[in-house]
Amino acid sequence: MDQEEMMARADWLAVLARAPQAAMEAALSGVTTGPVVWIRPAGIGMVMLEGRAGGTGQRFSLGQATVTRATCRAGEQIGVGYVLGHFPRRAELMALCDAALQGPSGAALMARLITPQQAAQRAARDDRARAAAATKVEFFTMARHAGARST
Amino acid sequence: MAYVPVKGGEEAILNSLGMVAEERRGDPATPELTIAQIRQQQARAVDRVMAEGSLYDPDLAALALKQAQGDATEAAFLLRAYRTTLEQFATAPPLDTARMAIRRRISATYKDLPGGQVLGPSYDYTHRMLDFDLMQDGPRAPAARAGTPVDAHMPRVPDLVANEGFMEPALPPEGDPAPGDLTRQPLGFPAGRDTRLQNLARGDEGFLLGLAYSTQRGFGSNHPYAGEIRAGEVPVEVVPEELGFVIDIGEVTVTESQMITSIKGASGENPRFTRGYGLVFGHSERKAMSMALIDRALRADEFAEPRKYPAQDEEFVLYHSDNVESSGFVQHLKLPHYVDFQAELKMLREMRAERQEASQ
Repeated sequence: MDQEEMMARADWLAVLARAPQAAMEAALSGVTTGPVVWIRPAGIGMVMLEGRAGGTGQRFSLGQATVTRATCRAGEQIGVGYVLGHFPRRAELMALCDAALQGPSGAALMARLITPQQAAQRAARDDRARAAAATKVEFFTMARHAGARST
Repeated sequence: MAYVPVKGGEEAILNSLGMVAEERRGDPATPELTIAQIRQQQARAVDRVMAEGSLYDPDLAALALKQAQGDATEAAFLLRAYRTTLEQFATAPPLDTARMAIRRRISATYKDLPGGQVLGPSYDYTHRMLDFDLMQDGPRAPAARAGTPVDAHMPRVPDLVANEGFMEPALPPEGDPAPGDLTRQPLGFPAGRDTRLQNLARGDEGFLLGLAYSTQRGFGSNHPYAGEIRAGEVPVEVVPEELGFVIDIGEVTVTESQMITSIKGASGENPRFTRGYGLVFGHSERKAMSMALIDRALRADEFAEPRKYPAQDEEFVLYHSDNVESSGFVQHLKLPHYVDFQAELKMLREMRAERQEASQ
Protein backbone atom coordinates (compact mmCIF):
# COMPACT_ATOMS: atom_id res chain seq x y z
CA MET A 1 0.00 0.00 0.00
CA ASP A 2 1.49 3.37 -0.97
CA GLN A 3 1.23 6.51 1.11
CA GLU A 4 -1.75 7.86 -0.79
CA GLU A 5 -3.75 4.63 -0.47
CA MET A 6 -2.88 4.49 3.21
CA MET A 7 -4.18 8.03 3.77
CA ALA A 8 -7.36 7.36 1.81
CA ARG A 9 -7.96 4.24 3.87
CA ALA A 10 -7.29 6.05 7.16
CA ASP A 11 -9.81 8.71 6.05
CA TRP A 12 -12.61 6.26 5.31
CA LEU A 13 -11.89 4.27 8.46
CA ALA A 14 -12.37 7.46 10.53
CA VAL A 15 -15.71 8.02 8.79
CA LEU A 16 -16.78 4.39 9.29
CA ALA A 17 -15.84 4.47 12.98
CA ARG A 18 -18.51 7.18 13.44
CA ALA A 19 -21.08 5.84 10.97
CA PRO A 20 -24.44 4.60 12.23
CA GLN A 21 -25.02 0.86 12.06
CA ALA A 22 -28.13 1.23 9.87
CA ALA A 23 -26.27 3.29 7.26
CA MET A 24 -23.55 0.63 6.94
CA GLU A 25 -26.11 -2.21 6.79
CA ALA A 26 -28.03 -0.41 4.03
CA ALA A 27 -24.94 0.47 2.01
CA LEU A 28 -23.58 -3.08 2.15
CA SER A 29 -26.83 -4.73 1.10
CA GLY A 30 -26.15 -4.06 -2.58
CA VAL A 31 -22.45 -4.95 -2.50
CA THR A 32 -21.15 -8.35 -3.54
CA THR A 33 -17.77 -9.36 -2.20
CA GLY A 34 -16.12 -12.75 -2.35
CA PRO A 35 -16.73 -15.24 0.46
CA VAL A 36 -16.23 -13.70 3.91
CA VAL A 37 -13.93 -15.30 6.47
CA TRP A 38 -13.62 -13.79 9.94
CA ILE A 39 -9.90 -13.71 10.69
CA ARG A 40 -10.71 -12.02 13.98
CA PRO A 41 -14.35 -12.16 15.02
CA ALA A 42 -15.69 -9.07 16.75
CA GLY A 43 -14.17 -8.75 20.20
CA ILE A 44 -14.35 -6.11 22.93
CA GLY A 45 -11.23 -4.83 24.64
CA MET A 46 -9.67 -1.61 25.83
CA VAL A 47 -7.20 0.99 24.81
CA MET A 48 -5.30 3.08 27.38
CA LEU A 49 -5.79 6.78 26.71
CA GLU A 50 -2.94 9.06 27.70
CA GLY A 51 -2.70 12.73 28.42
CA ARG A 52 0.25 15.08 28.78
CA ALA A 53 0.86 17.23 31.86
CA GLY A 54 0.20 20.83 30.84
CA GLY A 55 -1.04 19.57 27.46
CA THR A 56 2.48 19.20 26.04
CA GLY A 57 4.59 17.72 28.87
CA GLN A 58 5.04 14.39 30.61
CA ARG A 59 2.77 11.57 29.44
CA PHE A 60 0.37 10.01 31.94
CA SER A 61 -2.28 7.27 31.81
CA LEU A 62 -5.62 9.07 31.82
CA GLY A 63 -7.87 6.02 31.81
CA GLN A 64 -9.03 3.27 29.50
CA ALA A 65 -11.73 3.28 26.84
CA THR A 66 -13.63 0.31 25.47
CA VAL A 67 -12.88 -0.59 21.86
CA THR A 68 -14.49 -3.20 19.61
CA ARG A 69 -12.46 -4.66 16.75
CA ALA A 70 -12.99 -7.17 13.97
CA THR A 71 -10.96 -8.34 10.96
CA CYS A 72 -12.30 -10.17 7.93
CA ARG A 73 -11.16 -11.44 4.55
CA ALA A 74 -13.78 -10.71 1.91
CA GLY A 75 -12.63 -12.16 -1.41
CA GLU A 76 -9.10 -10.85 -1.92
CA GLN A 77 -9.33 -7.99 0.56
CA ILE A 78 -8.62 -7.77 4.26
CA GLY A 79 -11.01 -5.47 6.10
CA VAL A 80 -10.46 -3.98 9.54
CA GLY A 81 -12.96 -2.52 11.98
CA TYR A 82 -12.03 -0.52 15.10
CA VAL A 83 -14.79 1.35 16.91
CA LEU A 84 -14.64 3.23 20.19
CA GLY A 85 -17.20 1.65 22.53
CA HIS A 86 -19.04 -1.59 22.90
CA PHE A 87 -20.40 -2.25 19.39
CA PRO A 88 -19.68 -5.73 17.93
CA ARG A 89 -22.01 -5.38 14.94
CA ARG A 90 -20.64 -1.95 14.00
CA ALA A 91 -17.06 -3.28 14.10
CA GLU A 92 -18.05 -6.18 11.80
CA LEU A 93 -19.86 -3.90 9.36
CA MET A 94 -16.91 -1.53 9.38
CA ALA A 95 -14.52 -4.38 8.50
CA LEU A 96 -16.81 -5.53 5.67
CA CYS A 97 -17.04 -1.97 4.33
CA ASP A 98 -13.27 -1.52 4.59
CA ALA A 99 -12.72 -4.71 2.57
CA ALA A 100 -15.30 -3.75 -0.03
CA LEU A 101 -13.86 -0.24 -0.39
CA GLN A 102 -10.54 -1.77 -1.46
CA GLY A 103 -12.20 -4.06 -4.03
CA PRO A 104 -13.98 -3.64 -7.37
CA SER A 105 -17.14 -2.17 -5.77
CA GLY A 106 -15.06 0.39 -3.85
CA ALA A 107 -15.98 3.42 -5.92
CA ALA A 108 -19.69 2.68 -5.70
CA LEU A 109 -19.56 2.20 -1.93
CA MET A 110 -17.49 5.35 -1.60
CA ALA A 111 -20.23 7.33 -3.35
CA ARG A 112 -23.09 5.62 -1.56
CA LEU A 113 -21.73 5.53 2.00
CA ILE A 114 -18.47 7.36 2.70
CA THR A 115 -19.15 10.62 0.86
CA PRO A 116 -22.61 11.26 2.37
CA GLN A 117 -21.51 10.06 5.82
CA GLN A 118 -18.49 12.33 5.74
CA ALA A 119 -20.75 15.25 4.80
CA ALA A 120 -23.21 14.38 7.60
CA GLN A 121 -20.43 14.10 10.17
CA ARG A 122 -18.94 17.43 9.06
CA ALA A 123 -22.37 19.06 9.26
CA ALA A 124 -22.89 17.71 12.79
CA ARG A 125 -19.46 19.00 13.87
CA ASP A 126 -20.16 22.36 12.25
CA ASP A 127 -23.54 22.57 14.00
CA ARG A 128 -21.93 21.97 17.42
CA ALA A 129 -19.19 24.49 16.64
CA ARG A 130 -21.80 27.10 15.67
CA ALA A 131 -23.76 26.48 18.88
CA ALA A 132 -20.54 27.05 20.83
CA ALA A 133 -19.76 30.16 18.74
CA ALA A 134 -23.13 31.65 19.73
CA THR A 135 -21.85 31.68 23.35
CA LYS A 136 -18.67 33.68 22.61
CA VAL A 137 -18.44 36.52 25.08
CA GLU A 138 -16.62 39.77 25.72
CA PHE A 139 -16.28 40.37 29.43
CA PHE A 140 -15.56 43.85 30.73
CA THR A 141 -13.93 44.21 34.12
CA MET A 142 -14.26 47.40 36.14
CA ALA A 143 -11.11 49.40 36.75
CA ARG A 144 -10.02 48.82 40.34
CA HIS A 145 -9.36 51.52 42.91
CA ALA A 146 -5.75 51.89 43.85
CA GLY A 147 -5.06 49.62 46.81
CA ALA A 148 -8.12 47.43 46.28
CA ARG A 149 -7.41 43.79 46.90
CA SER A 150 -7.16 41.86 43.67
CA THR A 151 -9.42 38.86 43.39
CA MET B 1 -14.35 -6.68 48.47
CA ALA B 2 -14.25 -10.46 48.30
CA TYR B 3 -15.75 -12.03 51.38
CA VAL B 4 -15.40 -15.77 51.80
CA PRO B 5 -15.39 -17.01 55.42
CA VAL B 6 -19.14 -17.03 55.97
CA LYS B 7 -21.40 -19.97 55.21
CA GLY B 8 -25.16 -20.06 54.94
CA GLY B 9 -27.61 -17.29 54.33
CA GLU B 10 -27.98 -18.06 50.62
CA GLU B 11 -31.72 -17.67 50.61
CA ALA B 12 -31.66 -14.41 52.57
CA ILE B 13 -29.01 -13.03 50.20
CA LEU B 14 -31.03 -13.99 47.12
CA ASN B 15 -34.09 -12.34 48.62
CA SER B 16 -32.07 -9.23 49.43
CA LEU B 17 -31.01 -9.02 45.77
CA GLY B 18 -34.63 -9.48 44.79
CA MET B 19 -35.57 -6.55 46.99
CA VAL B 20 -32.89 -4.41 45.34
CA ALA B 21 -34.32 -5.28 41.91
CA GLU B 22 -37.84 -4.45 43.00
CA GLU B 23 -36.86 -1.12 44.56
CA ARG B 24 -34.72 -0.25 41.53
CA ARG B 25 -37.68 -0.76 39.22
CA GLY B 26 -40.03 1.26 41.42
CA ASP B 27 -43.71 1.50 40.50
CA PRO B 28 -44.32 -0.78 37.49
CA ALA B 29 -46.88 1.75 36.25
CA THR B 30 -43.99 4.21 35.62
CA PRO B 31 -42.04 3.54 32.41
CA GLU B 32 -38.63 1.94 32.95
CA LEU B 33 -35.54 4.11 32.26
CA THR B 34 -33.66 3.29 29.07
CA ILE B 35 -29.87 3.35 28.76
CA ALA B 36 -30.17 6.03 26.06
CA GLN B 37 -32.23 8.22 28.39
CA ILE B 38 -29.62 7.98 31.14
CA ARG B 39 -26.71 8.51 28.72
CA GLN B 40 -28.28 11.58 27.15
CA GLN B 41 -30.31 13.15 29.95
CA GLN B 42 -28.13 12.34 32.97
CA ALA B 43 -24.86 12.93 31.10
CA ARG B 44 -22.96 14.59 33.95
CA ALA B 45 -23.64 11.58 36.18
CA VAL B 46 -22.45 9.32 33.34
CA ASP B 47 -19.29 11.46 33.06
CA ARG B 48 -18.56 11.08 36.74
CA VAL B 49 -18.95 7.31 36.63
CA MET B 50 -16.62 7.07 33.61
CA ALA B 51 -14.01 9.28 35.29
CA GLU B 52 -14.03 7.45 38.62
CA GLY B 53 -14.53 4.05 36.99
CA SER B 54 -11.52 4.97 34.80
CA LEU B 55 -13.26 3.53 31.74
CA TYR B 56 -14.64 5.64 28.91
CA ASP B 57 -17.87 4.08 27.71
CA PRO B 58 -21.03 6.19 28.09
CA ASP B 59 -23.38 3.26 27.46
CA LEU B 60 -21.80 1.01 30.07
CA ALA B 61 -21.57 3.90 32.55
CA ALA B 62 -25.30 4.53 31.99
CA LEU B 63 -25.99 0.83 32.55
CA ALA B 64 -23.91 0.91 35.75
CA LEU B 65 -25.91 3.91 36.98
CA LYS B 66 -29.18 2.16 36.22
CA GLN B 67 -28.03 -0.99 38.03
CA ALA B 68 -26.74 0.99 41.01
CA GLN B 69 -29.95 3.08 41.26
CA GLY B 70 -27.98 6.26 40.60
CA ASP B 71 -25.29 5.57 43.23
CA ALA B 72 -22.25 7.02 41.42
CA THR B 73 -19.60 5.38 43.59
CA GLU B 74 -21.23 1.94 43.29
CA ALA B 75 -21.56 2.47 39.53
CA ALA B 76 -17.85 3.37 39.27
CA PHE B 77 -17.05 0.16 41.17
CA LEU B 78 -19.13 -1.82 38.63
CA LEU B 79 -17.12 -0.32 35.76
CA ARG B 80 -13.80 -1.02 37.51
CA ALA B 81 -14.87 -4.65 38.01
CA TYR B 82 -16.01 -4.97 34.39
CA ARG B 83 -12.77 -3.61 32.97
CA THR B 84 -10.77 -6.40 34.64
CA THR B 85 -12.53 -8.84 32.27
CA LEU B 86 -11.23 -7.04 29.17
CA GLU B 87 -7.96 -7.35 27.32
CA GLN B 88 -6.04 -4.17 26.56
CA PHE B 89 -5.59 -4.10 22.77
CA ALA B 90 -3.27 -1.15 22.51
CA THR B 91 -2.20 2.16 23.90
CA ALA B 92 -3.13 5.24 21.94
CA PRO B 93 -0.84 8.19 21.24
CA PRO B 94 -1.48 10.87 23.92
CA LEU B 95 -4.69 12.84 23.37
CA ASP B 96 -3.97 16.24 21.84
CA THR B 97 -6.21 18.73 23.62
CA ALA B 98 -5.11 21.50 21.21
CA ARG B 99 -7.15 19.62 18.58
CA MET B 100 -10.27 19.65 20.74
CA ALA B 101 -13.60 20.47 19.10
CA ILE B 102 -14.34 23.27 21.55
CA ARG B 103 -17.65 23.19 23.38
CA ARG B 104 -16.46 25.55 26.12
CA ARG B 105 -13.21 27.44 26.62
CA ILE B 106 -12.61 30.24 29.06
CA SER B 107 -9.66 31.97 30.66
CA ALA B 108 -9.72 34.03 33.83
CA THR B 109 -6.30 35.51 33.03
CA TYR B 110 -6.57 36.76 29.45
CA LYS B 111 -9.59 38.64 28.22
CA ASP B 112 -8.67 38.72 24.55
CA LEU B 113 -7.68 35.32 23.32
CA PRO B 114 -7.21 34.04 19.80
CA GLY B 115 -10.41 32.05 19.29
CA GLY B 116 -12.23 33.99 22.00
CA GLN B 117 -13.88 33.18 25.29
CA VAL B 118 -16.54 30.55 24.63
CA LEU B 119 -19.02 30.02 27.46
CA GLY B 120 -20.55 26.88 25.98
CA PRO B 121 -23.08 25.06 28.16
CA SER B 122 -22.47 26.34 31.70
CA TYR B 123 -24.34 26.59 35.00
CA ASP B 124 -22.09 29.48 36.04
CA TYR B 125 -24.58 32.16 35.07
CA THR B 126 -27.76 30.53 36.35
CA HIS B 127 -29.44 31.69 39.55
CA ARG B 128 -29.75 28.14 40.84
CA MET B 129 -33.52 28.34 40.94
CA LEU B 130 -35.52 25.19 40.34
CA ASP B 131 -37.01 25.15 36.87
CA PHE B 132 -40.55 23.93 37.37
CA ASP B 133 -41.10 23.70 33.61
CA LEU B 134 -39.02 20.52 33.77
CA MET B 135 -41.69 18.92 35.97
CA GLN B 136 -43.61 18.26 32.75
CA ASP B 137 -42.57 16.74 29.44
CA GLY B 138 -42.70 19.24 26.66
CA PRO B 139 -40.93 20.75 23.68
CA ARG B 140 -37.71 22.57 24.60
CA ALA B 141 -36.33 25.54 22.70
CA PRO B 142 -33.17 24.71 20.73
CA ALA B 143 -29.95 26.59 21.48
CA ALA B 144 -28.88 29.47 19.24
CA ARG B 145 -26.42 28.93 16.38
CA ALA B 146 -23.90 31.54 15.19
CA GLY B 147 -23.25 32.14 11.51
CA THR B 148 -19.62 31.07 11.81
CA PRO B 149 -18.38 28.14 13.86
CA VAL B 150 -15.70 28.46 16.56
CA ASP B 151 -12.13 28.05 15.28
CA ALA B 152 -11.16 24.46 14.54
CA HIS B 153 -7.83 24.90 16.30
CA MET B 154 -7.65 26.93 19.46
CA PRO B 155 -4.24 27.35 21.07
CA ARG B 156 -4.01 26.47 24.77
CA VAL B 157 -3.68 29.63 26.84
CA PRO B 158 -0.46 28.72 28.74
CA ASP B 159 1.20 27.97 25.39
CA LEU B 160 0.38 31.51 24.23
CA VAL B 161 2.36 33.11 27.02
CA ALA B 162 5.04 30.42 27.28
CA ASN B 163 7.05 32.31 24.68
CA GLU B 164 7.49 35.32 26.93
CA GLY B 165 9.46 33.20 29.38
CA PHE B 166 7.17 33.92 32.31
CA MET B 167 5.43 30.56 32.15
CA GLU B 168 6.94 27.32 33.30
CA PRO B 169 7.28 25.28 30.11
CA ALA B 170 5.47 21.92 29.87
CA LEU B 171 8.06 19.68 28.24
CA PRO B 172 8.26 15.89 28.32
CA PRO B 173 11.20 14.38 30.23
CA GLU B 174 14.21 13.14 28.25
CA GLY B 175 13.13 10.44 25.79
CA ASP B 176 9.38 11.05 26.34
CA PRO B 177 9.01 7.82 28.36
CA ALA B 178 5.85 5.69 28.47
CA PRO B 179 3.91 6.51 31.64
CA GLY B 180 3.29 4.30 34.65
CA ASP B 181 -0.08 2.60 34.90
CA LEU B 182 -1.85 1.94 38.21
CA THR B 183 -3.94 -0.80 36.57
CA ARG B 184 -0.71 -2.78 36.10
CA GLN B 185 1.66 -1.64 38.86
CA PRO B 186 0.67 -0.96 42.47
CA LEU B 187 1.08 2.52 43.87
CA GLY B 188 4.62 3.20 45.16
CA PHE B 189 6.33 6.21 46.72
CA PRO B 190 7.74 8.62 45.86
CA ALA B 191 5.20 8.67 43.02
CA GLY B 192 6.06 10.30 39.70
CA ARG B 193 3.89 13.08 38.36
CA ASP B 194 2.49 10.61 35.80
CA THR B 195 1.25 8.30 38.57
CA ARG B 196 -0.14 11.22 40.56
CA LEU B 197 -2.08 12.53 37.56
CA GLN B 198 -3.56 9.10 36.80
CA ASN B 199 -4.58 8.67 40.43
CA LEU B 200 -6.19 12.13 40.51
CA ALA B 201 -7.97 11.64 37.15
CA ARG B 202 -9.80 8.63 38.60
CA GLY B 203 -10.04 9.93 42.16
CA ASP B 204 -13.25 10.74 43.99
CA GLU B 205 -14.57 14.12 42.93
CA GLY B 206 -15.80 15.06 46.40
CA PHE B 207 -12.51 14.17 48.05
CA LEU B 208 -10.50 16.11 45.46
CA LEU B 209 -12.83 19.09 45.70
CA GLY B 210 -12.45 19.28 49.48
CA LEU B 211 -8.67 18.99 49.26
CA ALA B 212 -8.48 21.61 46.51
CA TYR B 213 -10.60 23.94 48.63
CA SER B 214 -8.25 23.37 51.58
CA THR B 215 -5.32 24.74 49.52
CA GLN B 216 -7.29 27.93 48.90
CA ARG B 217 -8.25 28.36 52.54
CA GLY B 218 -4.70 28.39 53.84
CA PHE B 219 -3.85 24.70 54.07
CA GLY B 220 -1.38 25.19 51.23
CA SER B 221 0.23 28.32 49.88
CA ASN B 222 -1.61 28.53 46.60
CA HIS B 223 -3.04 31.68 45.04
CA PRO B 224 -3.92 30.30 41.64
CA TYR B 225 -5.51 31.67 38.51
CA ALA B 226 -7.63 29.66 36.11
CA GLY B 227 -5.36 30.08 33.09
CA GLU B 228 -7.69 28.06 30.94
CA ILE B 229 -10.58 25.64 31.19
CA ARG B 230 -11.71 23.86 28.06
CA ALA B 231 -14.18 21.07 27.39
CA GLY B 232 -15.04 19.29 24.18
CA GLU B 233 -14.32 16.32 21.97
CA VAL B 234 -10.86 14.96 21.21
CA PRO B 235 -10.17 12.25 18.61
CA VAL B 236 -8.78 8.90 19.77
CA GLU B 237 -6.14 7.35 17.55
CA VAL B 238 -4.69 3.86 17.61
CA VAL B 239 -2.13 1.98 15.54
CA PRO B 240 -3.73 -1.45 14.93
CA GLU B 241 -1.16 -4.21 14.62
CA GLU B 242 -2.83 -5.46 11.43
CA LEU B 243 -2.49 -2.05 9.75
CA GLY B 244 0.70 -0.49 11.07
CA PHE B 245 -0.54 3.08 10.61
CA VAL B 246 -2.54 5.51 12.73
CA ILE B 247 -6.32 5.47 12.49
CA ASP B 248 -8.93 7.63 14.20
CA ILE B 249 -11.54 5.42 15.91
CA GLY B 250 -13.90 7.99 17.42
CA GLU B 251 -13.81 10.74 19.98
CA VAL B 252 -14.03 11.21 23.72
CA THR B 253 -15.30 14.20 25.68
CA VAL B 254 -12.77 15.56 28.15
CA THR B 255 -12.32 18.63 30.35
CA GLU B 256 -8.91 20.24 30.77
CA SER B 257 -7.88 22.78 33.39
CA GLN B 258 -4.63 24.70 33.56
CA MET B 259 -4.05 26.52 36.83
CA ILE B 260 -1.33 29.14 37.13
CA THR B 261 0.48 30.14 40.34
CA SER B 262 3.33 32.63 40.59
CA ILE B 263 6.49 31.83 42.54
CA LYS B 264 9.24 34.14 43.63
CA GLY B 265 11.90 31.72 42.47
CA ALA B 266 14.30 30.05 44.84
CA SER B 267 18.11 30.37 44.81
CA GLY B 268 18.63 32.87 42.03
CA GLU B 269 15.87 31.57 39.74
CA ASN B 270 13.71 34.15 38.04
CA PRO B 271 10.26 34.76 39.47
CA ARG B 272 7.72 33.09 37.17
CA PHE B 273 4.42 31.29 36.83
CA THR B 274 4.13 27.59 37.60
CA ARG B 275 1.38 25.27 36.49
CA GLY B 276 -1.03 22.66 37.82
CA TYR B 277 -2.81 20.40 35.38
CA GLY B 278 -6.17 18.67 35.32
CA LEU B 279 -7.66 16.41 32.65
CA VAL B 280 -10.75 14.27 33.21
CA PHE B 281 -13.22 12.19 31.23
CA GLY B 282 -16.46 13.94 30.39
CA HIS B 283 -17.54 17.50 31.10
CA SER B 284 -16.55 18.15 34.70
CA GLU B 285 -14.94 21.47 35.45
CA ARG B 286 -15.26 21.07 39.22
CA LYS B 287 -13.16 17.95 39.07
CA ALA B 288 -10.66 19.14 36.45
CA MET B 289 -10.00 22.34 38.43
CA SER B 290 -9.66 20.41 41.71
CA MET B 291 -7.21 18.03 40.05
CA ALA B 292 -5.12 20.93 38.75
CA LEU B 293 -4.96 22.59 42.18
CA ILE B 294 -3.89 19.34 43.85
CA ASP B 295 -1.39 18.52 41.10
CA ARG B 296 0.26 21.88 41.80
CA ALA B 297 0.16 21.36 45.58
CA LEU B 298 1.82 17.95 45.18
CA ARG B 299 4.68 19.52 43.22
CA ALA B 300 5.88 21.30 46.39
CA ASP B 301 9.30 19.60 46.36
CA GLU B 302 10.01 20.73 42.79
CA PHE B 303 9.71 24.35 43.88
CA ALA B 304 11.38 23.92 47.27
CA GLU B 305 8.12 24.64 49.09
CA PRO B 306 7.73 23.21 52.60
CA ARG B 307 5.28 20.29 52.67
CA LYS B 308 3.07 21.09 55.65
CA TYR B 309 -0.51 20.44 54.58
CA PRO B 310 -2.61 17.39 53.62
CA ALA B 311 -2.93 18.43 49.96
CA GLN B 312 0.89 18.51 49.67
CA ASP B 313 1.32 15.03 51.16
CA GLU B 314 1.29 12.56 48.29
CA GLU B 315 0.81 9.47 50.44
CA PHE B 316 -2.18 11.05 52.13
CA VAL B 317 -3.71 12.23 48.85
CA LEU B 318 -3.00 9.22 46.64
CA TYR B 319 -3.88 6.54 49.19
CA HIS B 320 -7.22 8.08 50.10
CA SER B 321 -8.55 9.57 46.86
CA ASP B 322 -9.70 6.32 45.28
CA ASN B 323 -13.34 5.81 46.22
CA VAL B 324 -13.45 2.16 45.17
CA GLU B 325 -10.71 1.32 47.67
CA SER B 326 -11.96 3.71 50.35
CA SER B 327 -15.50 2.44 50.04
CA GLY B 328 -14.39 -1.18 50.17
CA PHE B 329 -12.42 -0.71 53.35
CA VAL B 330 -14.95 1.44 55.16
CA GLN B 331 -17.85 -0.79 54.17
CA HIS B 332 -16.15 -4.07 54.98
CA LEU B 333 -16.89 -3.17 58.60
CA LYS B 334 -20.51 -4.16 57.95
CA LEU B 335 -19.59 -7.77 57.33
CA PRO B 336 -19.67 -10.25 60.20
CA HIS B 337 -16.77 -9.80 62.62
CA TYR B 338 -18.34 -12.09 65.23
CA VAL B 339 -15.20 -14.06 66.06
CA ASP B 340 -12.93 -11.00 66.28
CA PHE B 341 -15.45 -9.21 68.44
CA GLN B 342 -15.95 -12.18 70.80
CA ALA B 343 -12.16 -12.51 71.18
CA GLU B 344 -11.89 -8.84 72.05
CA LEU B 345 -14.78 -9.07 74.51
CA LYS B 346 -13.12 -12.05 76.20
CA MET B 347 -9.85 -10.12 76.47
CA LEU B 348 -11.62 -7.12 78.06
CA ARG B 349 -13.35 -9.44 80.56
CA GLU B 350 -10.02 -10.95 81.56
CA MET B 351 -8.38 -7.55 81.93
CA ARG B 352 -11.21 -6.35 84.18
CA ALA B 353 -11.02 -9.50 86.24
CA GLU B 354 -7.26 -9.03 86.69
CA ARG B 355 -7.79 -5.44 87.72
CA GLN B 356 -10.41 -6.39 90.29
CA GLU B 357 -8.15 -9.06 91.71
CA ALA B 358 -5.25 -6.60 91.95
CA SER B 359 -7.36 -3.98 93.78
CA GLN B 360 -8.71 -6.47 96.32
